[in-house]
Amino acid sequence: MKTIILSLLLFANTSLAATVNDVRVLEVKQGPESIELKLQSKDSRPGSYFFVNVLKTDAEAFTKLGHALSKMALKNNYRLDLDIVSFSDSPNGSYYASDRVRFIGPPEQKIKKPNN
Amino acid sequence: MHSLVLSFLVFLGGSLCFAADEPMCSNTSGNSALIVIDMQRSFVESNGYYKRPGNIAIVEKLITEQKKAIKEAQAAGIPIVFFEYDDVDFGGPTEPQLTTAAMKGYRDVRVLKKTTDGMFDKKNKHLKDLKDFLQRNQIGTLIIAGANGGSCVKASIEGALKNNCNVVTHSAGVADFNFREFIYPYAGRLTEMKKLEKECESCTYKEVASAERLADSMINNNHRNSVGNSGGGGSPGTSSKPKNSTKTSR
Repeated sequence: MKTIILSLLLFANTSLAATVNDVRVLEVKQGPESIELKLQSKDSRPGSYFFVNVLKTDAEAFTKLGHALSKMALKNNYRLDLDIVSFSDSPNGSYYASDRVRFIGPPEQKIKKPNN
Repeated sequence: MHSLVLSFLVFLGGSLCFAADEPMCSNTSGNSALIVIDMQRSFVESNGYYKRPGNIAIVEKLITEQKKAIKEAQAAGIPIVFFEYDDVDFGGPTEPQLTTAAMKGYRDVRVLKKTTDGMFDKKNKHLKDLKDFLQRNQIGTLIIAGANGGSCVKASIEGALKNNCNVVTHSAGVADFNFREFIYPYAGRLTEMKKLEKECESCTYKEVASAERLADSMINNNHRNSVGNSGGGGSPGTSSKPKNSTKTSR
């Protein structure tokens, strides 16, 4: 009984953001305070794109850029998904600060929750 | 460990059983509700471009339009529901100007939570609250405003139509903050929703540009036939505070 309550509590406070599957890195631009990634999801319509701005202030900036660089280097051999709350798939050019984006590379995909 | 897995399966099974339920709206009832989605500061500010003068003006115009819709809803005596994203990073209360305007001398106001972009999403952990509200009030038509137009509003409209609800989008009350220049108004951007009429029994979709033109869609037969209607968490005039209001996880 305790474990039932515990497991329900574990799921009680997590939201289920939209998962943007298998993104490609189209372009990387360096700015003074951030690095802007132009991305495209494999599931989206041809020619579509959106931006994620990796901020210096994001505590996970290094890890997130690592995922982006791995994707650029390994291409189809590296799957990168993103969890973005309230993701607008159209029109093109939606723009997100990295601190609201969860990067899910191969290590995280292995341990990702089954219902997400 | 086994019991943990078992309890997860029970939890998942419960969600799936719930998902198989019949459509939530009774779209022949004629009753409508005003739904305002995710008007939380965290969404306005999320990508850092909210301080642009153009974007500040858009947020002001949007709130003004939504307040007009709230006024129309009050005049018609229909329920007003604020949906709030319940997330660790995206929480917080709805824009106070809106909730204050809604509660001013009016009691049929609720705050409901959601944990997914679309309020009808089967993974929304608060889906039961929405279902209870719709069924207790025999809501058939949802008049929708809010943000973000290309995500939560769009997903909620899709879900509503699939649940046999008629939908009226208040396009001057919808914006998308996920852009360097916020998208507003939203007229003509959700026209593909019209195609979803085919997916339900007899639901309809339309867009209305201004709040003044929403009055025709704002009907409350429960209110008109209120004799003997004791509310049950649904009828107008049962509380002076927002119903189902809970603190966010933030």
